[in-house]
Amino acid sequence: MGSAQHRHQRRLNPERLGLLGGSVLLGGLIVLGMGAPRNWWSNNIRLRFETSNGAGISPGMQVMIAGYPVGRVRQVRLLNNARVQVSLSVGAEQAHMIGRRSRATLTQDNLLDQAYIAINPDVGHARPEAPSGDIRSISYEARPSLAVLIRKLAANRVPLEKVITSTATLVDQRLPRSLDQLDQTLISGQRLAGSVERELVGNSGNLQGRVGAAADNLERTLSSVQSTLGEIQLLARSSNALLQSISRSWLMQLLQPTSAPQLGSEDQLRNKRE
Amino acid sequence: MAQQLGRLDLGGTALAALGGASICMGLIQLLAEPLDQVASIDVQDVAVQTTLLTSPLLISLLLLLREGPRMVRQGARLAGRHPRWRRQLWLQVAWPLGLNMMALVPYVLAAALLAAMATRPELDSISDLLLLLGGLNPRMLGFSLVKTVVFALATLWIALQQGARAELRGFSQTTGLSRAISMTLAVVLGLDLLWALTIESIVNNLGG
Repeated sequence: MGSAQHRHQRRLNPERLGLLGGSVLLGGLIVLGMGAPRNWWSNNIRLRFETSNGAGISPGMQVMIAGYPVGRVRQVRLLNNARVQVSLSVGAEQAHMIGRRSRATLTQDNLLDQAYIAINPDVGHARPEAPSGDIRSISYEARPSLAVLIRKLAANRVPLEKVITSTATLVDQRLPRSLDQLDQTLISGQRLAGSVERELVGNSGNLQGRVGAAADNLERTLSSVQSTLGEIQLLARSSNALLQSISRSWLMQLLQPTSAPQLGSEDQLRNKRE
Repeated sequence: MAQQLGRLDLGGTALAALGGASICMGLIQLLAEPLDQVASIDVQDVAVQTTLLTSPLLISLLLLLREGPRMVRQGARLAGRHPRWRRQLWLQVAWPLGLNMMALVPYVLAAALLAAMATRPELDSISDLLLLLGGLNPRMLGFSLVKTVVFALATLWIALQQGARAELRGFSQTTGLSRAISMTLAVVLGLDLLWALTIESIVNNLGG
């Protein structure tokens, strides 16, 4: 009886219950916060790729699109064909950004930063919605390792040295010569420009004198033409007056035939000539 | 009396939380100042995870220091009886004790998170908290919970054993407690090492 009462009191101890409740609450909040970036509480799609070198890829590694975390690496497995299969979990909201031309790459922003899987978005060519639970395949571009880069650098060293040597030779020998020639060309060009300028100045003086003389001649000719025209005008006036006086004289009236009609006499004369 | 062993009380919880905060704060200062990385969230992340990793040891130590004398005394009372009495007592206390000790882990972790946020120079604490929570490893949290229970039960068994041994050999209970402390430390640290070498690697290999 006493033991049962003691057990009952122990169970109903509010301090213990409160502390246990607080622990459960804190644990729940911790799990809730832990699961949010892992997309535990949202729908996910599964992506998968294979690579011949899975170095640096580990479960839990972040998956990013445009530098924004969208998922995690779920599983890394070594297949029987000695290739590494990597499964990714990406939020369903970002599924439309992953298209046929999307590529996954292992990326590290800085030397001390954590590596992550970067997927380049392909919004325009999004794949049709896969059924829930279906695993999509995505291409993977392996990052060149430091050893490969060093090997490539070593392979390119000899041609690079040749290029540098020929460039140095060019700079050392040919360039000063070319600069000297350019200097000489510039000096001769300057001389040529000076002589052309002098010639132009002399020729322009002569031309100006000739144009002045021609203008004077033209002016004189125009004045004489003007006076000649005035004389011609006077002559024409006097001739006109003379002809009018002749036409009004009695001798002409006598010479005028009376039978012929006054009008059309000129037509008759033309007919006779024909 | 036996049911009172390792009970969850305010003092023990506050002590565990204080221990978590102190370890985390100390680690942050240790890492941040020489590396000049006060503004980096990675330092806080490492400190919180290390605190989580060490929380089973911390809780075992607190259990030993707070409940050690009582556990040794219980062991001494059962000294003259058959060993099955001790085993029965251990089994009777094991589940509530394990549950109570496991309940301390969220407090240790929450205190470590608060301490980590307090060291951040920026005022955007909620986003920092989410970052720190997101950086926690679920597997490590699970391991810490299981290890806390295992270490607490080992501590209880060693204390009962050493209490009985001291009583049988005519030593004082203080001597038994002293021996229980040193032995518990050795066993718990050895178990932790063994766990890291075997269990974690097996689980990691199974999980891929």
